Amino acid sequence: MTENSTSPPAASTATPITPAAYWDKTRRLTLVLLGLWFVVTFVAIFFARQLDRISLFGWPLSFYMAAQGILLVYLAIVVLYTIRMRRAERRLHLHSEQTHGD
Amino acid sequence: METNKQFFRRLSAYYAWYTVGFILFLLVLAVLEHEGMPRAWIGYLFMFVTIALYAGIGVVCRTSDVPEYYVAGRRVPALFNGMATAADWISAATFISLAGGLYLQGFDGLAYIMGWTGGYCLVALLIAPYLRKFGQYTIADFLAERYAGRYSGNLVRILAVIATIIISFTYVVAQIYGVGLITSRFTGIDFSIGIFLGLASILVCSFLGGMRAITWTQVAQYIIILFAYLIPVIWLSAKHTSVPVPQVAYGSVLPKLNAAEKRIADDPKEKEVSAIFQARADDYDKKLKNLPRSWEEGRIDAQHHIEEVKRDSHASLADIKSASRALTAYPKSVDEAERKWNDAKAYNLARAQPPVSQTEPFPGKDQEASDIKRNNFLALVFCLMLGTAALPHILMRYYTTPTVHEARKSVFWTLFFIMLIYITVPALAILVKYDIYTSLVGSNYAHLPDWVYYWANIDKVNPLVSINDLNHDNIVQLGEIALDGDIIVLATPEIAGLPYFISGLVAAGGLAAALSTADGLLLTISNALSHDVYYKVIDPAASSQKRVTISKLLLLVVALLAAYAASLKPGDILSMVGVAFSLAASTLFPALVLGIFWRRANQAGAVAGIVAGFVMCVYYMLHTHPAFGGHAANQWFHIAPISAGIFGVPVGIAALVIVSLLTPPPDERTLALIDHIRTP
Repeated sequence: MTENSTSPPAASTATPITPAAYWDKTRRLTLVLLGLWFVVTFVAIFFARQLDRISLFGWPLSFYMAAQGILLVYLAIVVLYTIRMRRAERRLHLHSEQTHGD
Repeated sequence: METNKQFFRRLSAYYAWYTVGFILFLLVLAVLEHEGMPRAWIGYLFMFVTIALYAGIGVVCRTSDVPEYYVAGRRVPALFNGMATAADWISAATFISLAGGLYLQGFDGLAYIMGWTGGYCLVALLIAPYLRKFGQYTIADFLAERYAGRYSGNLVRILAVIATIIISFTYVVAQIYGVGLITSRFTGIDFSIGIFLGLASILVCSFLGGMRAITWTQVAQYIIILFAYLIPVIWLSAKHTSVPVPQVAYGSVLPKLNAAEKRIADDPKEKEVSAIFQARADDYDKKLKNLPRSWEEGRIDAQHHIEEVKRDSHASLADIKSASRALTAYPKSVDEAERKWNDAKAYNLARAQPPVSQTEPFPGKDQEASDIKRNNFLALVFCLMLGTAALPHILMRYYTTPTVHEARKSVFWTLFFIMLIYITVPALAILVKYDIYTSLVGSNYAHLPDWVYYWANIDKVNPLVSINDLNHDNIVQLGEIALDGDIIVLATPEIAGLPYFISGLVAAGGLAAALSTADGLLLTISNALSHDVYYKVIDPAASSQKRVTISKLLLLVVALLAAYAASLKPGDILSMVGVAFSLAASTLFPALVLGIFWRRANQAGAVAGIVAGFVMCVYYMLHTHPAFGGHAANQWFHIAPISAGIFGVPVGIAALVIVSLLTPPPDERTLALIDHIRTP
C-alpha cells in the first residue's frame, strides 16, 4: 500500500486535509486498487494453466480462483475503498469546517 | 420529517414481514401439493401471485413527483439500493443460462462469473461516487454537463441517448424473451401471451411509480430470486456432500467428478456413440464437397422415397407423413443446403468430441488452440467488466442514494448480493453435472427419470433435453444425451428429487430476474427519451407534471416495441446480452471515466470517442458474427465477435485523447464542475 502506513486516526483525532490533498489521496488509492484488480483478473487468468497443478481443498487452484477466490478479492477491494474513502472524506469535512467555521 | 435511520428501520421491518409472508406462502403450497393439487395449478399460482405482488407494490408507490419518479427521492438506503441493483443486474440470462453455460463450456463459462462481478470494482472506484455527487437524473445528463463546450452539450447528450437506447433496447428484448420462455414453459401458456402477461406487470409497476416503485419492487424480487436460486442447490449439496453449504461443499465433489469424467472418456461404449456422430459428420462433409450435384441427388432421392412409400401397401400413415416431412424440410436451394449441411456437420462434429473437462483451463488440441481460448477468455472478461461499468440502467441507480458515502456503500452491497448468487452458480453446475454423470449415465433406458420425459415434451421443435439410444445397447451413454443449457437451472429441483412447488419457485425466481431487469431498462430508455430528448432539447420550459406524463407515455410505447421485438424470437439470450456489453464498453466507458479523471478531456474529444468506439465495435461485429452476415475468418487474433469491445475501447479512448489534445481545453465552468464532483 502506498497509503499512509500509520494506524488509522479515529474521527475525533483525525487531522484535516485540503481538497487538493484529498484528491491526491483518492487518486493514489484508486490506482493501487485498480492495480490489484488488474493483477487478480488478468495476470491470474493468464497463468491459469500453470496454476491448475496446485490444488486447494479439492479445488484446482485456477478453477477455485475464477469461480470464487477472485470474486472475494473484488469484494475486498470495494470494502477497502469504501472504508478508506470514508476516512479521507471525514478529514476533508473537518478541513472545510475549520476554514468556514472560524 | 422522518430521518434516514427511521426510514431504514421501517423498510427493514416491511421486508422482514414480506420474507416471512413469502415463506408462509411456500409452506401453504407445499401442503397443497401434498393434498394433491395438480402441477399446472401450482405453476399458475406462482405466476399470478408474484405478478400481482409486483403490481401491488407499483400501485402503493405511485407518484408523479419528478425526483420521486426519476430517482426515488434520493433517499434509498445503501443496503436496499444494493439489493435493488442486484435484482436489476441479475437478468434472465444470469438466472437461467449462466449455470447451463458453465455446465456445457467448463472453465470458459467462468468468464461471465468474473466479468459480471469484477465490473463492480470499476463502478465503485471510477464512477458511482462521482455520479452521485453530480446528482442529476440520467447518464446523458452527466456527459452533456461535463462536455458542455462553448455552446451546449446537446450534441454529446444526443449521442449518449442513442447509445443508451441501443444498449438498453437489445438488453430489454432479451429479458422479455426470457419472460415469455419461463411463462410458456411452466404454465403452458402460449409464448406471446406469456410476454404480454409479464409486460402488464412491468407496466403497472414502472408506469405508476417510476424509479420509486421499481426500487421497492426490485428489493422484493431480489428476495424471491435468492430463495429460488439457493434452495435447490442447498438440497443438491446436502444430497451429494452432506454439507448444506454448496459454495463450500462442492470442492469435495470436484475430484469425484474428475474421476467420472475420466471413466466416461475411456468407456468403449462412449467411443461407439462418438464414432456414430463422426460418421454422420463425414457424411455431411462428403455431401458438401459434391455440391451442387449432391443437393440435386438428395432431392430426387427424397421424392423417390415418397413415391415408394405411397406405393407400398404396408406403409402406415405415419411413414407417409414422415417421408413428406423429409421432403418439405429438404433445402430449397444449393445455398440453403450448404448452410444447413455446414451447421449439421458442425453439430455432429461437436457431439463426436469427448466431453469438456469441467475444471481444466483452456483445453485445446495444441498450444495454439489453447492460447486462443485463453485470449478469448481474457477479452470477454475485459468487455463484460467495462460494459458493466457503463451500463446506463445500473449507473442510474447510484443517483438514488442520499449521500456520496452511501453510494460507495451501496456498490459494496450490490456486489455482495450479486456474489451470493454468483458463487453459487458454479456449485449448481457442478452438482448437477455430477448427478447426471453418476446417476443418469449408465442407467437403463427402461428407467429414465420422469424429468427427462417432462422436459423433452415442453418444446417439441427445439427440445431442451433429448436422449436417444444411438448404439442400441439400452444403456444411456453421455454422448447420447443432448442438453440445452437452460435446463440446468429449470430442472434442478426435479433432478434433485424435490417436490414440484420448488420448481414453481424456480420459475418465479427466473421471472423475477427477468422482470426486475426489464423494469430498470424500460425506465432507463423512457427517461432518456423524455428527460434528455424532450425536456432538455425540445421543450426546456415543460412543467414537471408534463415531463412525468410524457415519460409514462414513452414507457408504454417502448415496452410495446420491445415486446413486439421479443415475440419475433431473435437469437439466443446470452449472445444478445453480450453484444450490449461490448457496445456499452466501447461507447460510454471512455467518455465517462476520462470525463472524471482527465481534466483536459473536452467536447470534441468526447464526440470523437463515442463515435469511434461505436463504429469500431459495430464494424467488428458485422464482419465476424455469422448472424449479421459476417464470417469467422475475418476475426483479428481469433477474438470472437462478442468481445468486439476489446477493439472498441482502445479506439474510443485513443480518439477521445487525440481529438481532445488537438482542440482547445475545456472552459472554466467545466473545470469547476470537475472539481465539484471530485469533492464529496
